[in-house]
Amino acid sequence: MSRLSGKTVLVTGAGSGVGRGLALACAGAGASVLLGVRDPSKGNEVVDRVTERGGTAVTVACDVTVAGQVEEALGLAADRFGGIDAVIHNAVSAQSSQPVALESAPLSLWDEHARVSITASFHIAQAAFSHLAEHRGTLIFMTSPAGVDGSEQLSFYAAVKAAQRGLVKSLAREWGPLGVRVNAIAPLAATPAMDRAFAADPQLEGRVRGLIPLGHLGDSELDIGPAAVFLCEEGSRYITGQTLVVSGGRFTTG
Amino acid sequence: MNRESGATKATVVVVSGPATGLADRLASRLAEGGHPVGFVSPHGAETRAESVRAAGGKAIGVAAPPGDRAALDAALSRCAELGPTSTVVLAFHPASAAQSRELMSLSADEWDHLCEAPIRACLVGLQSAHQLLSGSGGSVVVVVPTVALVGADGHVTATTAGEAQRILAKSAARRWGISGITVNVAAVPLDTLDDGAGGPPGAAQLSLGPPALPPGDPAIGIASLVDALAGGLDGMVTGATVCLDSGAVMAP
Repeated sequence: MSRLSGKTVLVTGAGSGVGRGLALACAGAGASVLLGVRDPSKGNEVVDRVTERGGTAVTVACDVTVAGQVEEALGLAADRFGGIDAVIHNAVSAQSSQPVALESAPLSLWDEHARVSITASFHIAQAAFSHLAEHRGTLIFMTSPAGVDGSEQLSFYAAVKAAQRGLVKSLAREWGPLGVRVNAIAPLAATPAMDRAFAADPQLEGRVRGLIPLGHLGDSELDIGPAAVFLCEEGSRYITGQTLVVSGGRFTTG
Repeated sequence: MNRESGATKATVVVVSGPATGLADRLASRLAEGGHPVGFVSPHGAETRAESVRAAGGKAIGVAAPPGDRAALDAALSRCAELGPTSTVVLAFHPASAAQSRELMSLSADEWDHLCEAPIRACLVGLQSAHQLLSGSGGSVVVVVPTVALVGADGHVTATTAGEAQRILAKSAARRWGISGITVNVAAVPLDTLDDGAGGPPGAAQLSLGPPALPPGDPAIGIASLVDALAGGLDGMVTGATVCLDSGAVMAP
């Protein structure tokens, strides 16, 4: 029996990057996976890949900044698969990898980051609660090591990721007595944005790898995905309120 | 940086949101310690400044709504009339900050008011403080509740906002160190942010366990931190979180 056999997992922002890897990993572990993406066509490649491997995945339109769409996506998942066991909020602003001058950046840019990572986390948590309480499920926020350490260049991204860590700590205490666990994963992973940065600066990849004790950037499916599978499965039932840093040893701050 | 020199102490500007209890006590403490003090808050700033002046201190009070960059820039400029500013303290928290609210009880508007607005105000406060200090250097101290470090049942808004504010401060510290601006965080018991100092500990504080020391007013601790930073500590310390909670959290 696979580790997530019989479970249903919703992953937001699952069309590419880390979200794609999480979806593939959860499906590979036996879960039925719902890919929450703004444009459902963006999830087709992942659905095809899961299906080829004998798994189950479907896409659903889910702009996480719209509370109604989040509720509909969760309702669809519950109807189609008989309930929801885990929700993973992975979607981030398209601006998340753009450097920000904290001292002069416009508030409109902050609001763009905050809508997807803070406001949407609120929507998702509220919409997911009844589903997760019914199944003693788990809520996972994909945060970042920058949300622990801060970031000179990605200050807005770091702050919204820190907000999610704060949410996790209190929500875990609030929902623990109801059987719902809440955790975060802070990955360091190869992403399309990082690939573009490496293409623009060929020396950069070597410098980044040199900072990682395990010597490579995380693969979204093979290195980051297993952390999500673990937090979704029964073996992690005594873990809540935590941020699991999955960075090849790059980040060791407590 | 604007170091303390002789008997003349540099101006400290205390900027607060709707919860002004801690900011008021801090400003009074700083004035007693000889600092000219600028009060910036949405309401009552000039009244509080008057009371400091009546007690023989130097103070200016300016009203500025949280998150209004133009108003805050103007307020800080006005406070600078007191003399060179060494430190800006930012304490943006909603009124009745310690009130417990479970996530499922919050409307979207309440979430914005209790959580996202204080983060936005802190960001604007940091930007405005940077503008004030960018020529001379100095220190910024961001006040957050200790529950941001460990979480607390019924306080998702305070912990979410507090962690975002804390990491904004860390990012600013990394970015502005080269300009001679340090940014540090003072973490204080949630109950003390508004007007709870000296009263019985609330549910959030109780959930953290008893402090190792007798509970005190963190305003005293922040005033001491401000003096220590201006006295040379800011040559080495930036991006740090100092827990001023009598040893309850002992984190990070």
